[in-house]
Amino acid sequence: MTRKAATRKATSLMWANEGLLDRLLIGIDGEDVGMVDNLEFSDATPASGAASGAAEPELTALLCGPLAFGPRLGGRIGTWWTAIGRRLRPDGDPAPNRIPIQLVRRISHRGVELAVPATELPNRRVFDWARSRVVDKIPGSGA
Amino acid sequence: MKATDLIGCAVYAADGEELGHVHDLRLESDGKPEDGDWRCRLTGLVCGSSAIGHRLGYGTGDMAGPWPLTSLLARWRRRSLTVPWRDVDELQPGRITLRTSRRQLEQMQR
Repeated sequence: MTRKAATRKATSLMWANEGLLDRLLIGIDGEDVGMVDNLEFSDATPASGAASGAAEPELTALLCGPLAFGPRLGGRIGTWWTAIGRRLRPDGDPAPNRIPIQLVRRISHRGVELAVPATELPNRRVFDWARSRVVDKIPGSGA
Repeated sequence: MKATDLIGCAVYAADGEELGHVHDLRLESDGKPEDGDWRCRLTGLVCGSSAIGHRLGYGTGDMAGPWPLTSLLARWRRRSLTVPWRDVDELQPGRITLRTSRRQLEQMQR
C-alpha cells in the first residue's frame, strides 16, 4: 500500500451527536431529503461478541422521519410523534425511512451528502403530497 | 439495534455502581465516505451524569466559545466516561451493564 493510500484509510473518529445526528441529508441533485433522526447498527450480542473477540456493531443505515425521531424524543410526545408518523404512512409499514450507509457520498459542513437524487428516496412523500395537492393549485405557484 | 436503544440508557459498572446515562456514541471508520466502501463501527459509549454539554456540541472540546460555556461545560465533560464497546457485558432495555468498574475505566482514560 502506498503512503497516500495508507493515509487515506487512516482510522477517523466521529461522535454521533456532532457528526451524524440532526445533520441535513442532501441528495446528489442538491435537494434536501430530511434530517438524520436516528442511526441503525448491525446487531451485536455484547457478551458473546466480546468473549469471541467479535467486531463492534457496524453502522448500517441512517434513519429519518417521524418514526425515527419519535423514539428519540421519548415520553408521551415521542409516542404521539411516532403515532402521527405511522398514520401518514400510506403502506402502514411501521419502519422508519432508511438510507443505507452505502448511499452516503460525503459528510461535509453542509450535511450528509448522498449518492442518489432526493426524488429516488421515500422521504419526501409529505412534501410531494403537499406540492401536488395544495401548492400546485395556487395560482402563480409555477405548476 | 438503533442509536436510541443505547442513548439514554442507564449504565452500571460490574460492581453495580451507576455511572450515569449514555449521552453520545463514539464511532470509528476506516477512511471517509468519499473513498468508497465506507465502514463505520460503534466503538464506545459516552456516559455520565450530565448530558447538556454533549447535546450542545461541547462533548469533544472543539467548541471555541463563548467562554463561560466552554469552561463550565468542559468541567462537566471531564466527568463523563467513554466506555469501550468491548466492556459492555449486558444490554437490556434502558440498562447497560459493564464488565469493568469505574476505577478501571478511569485508569484507561488517563
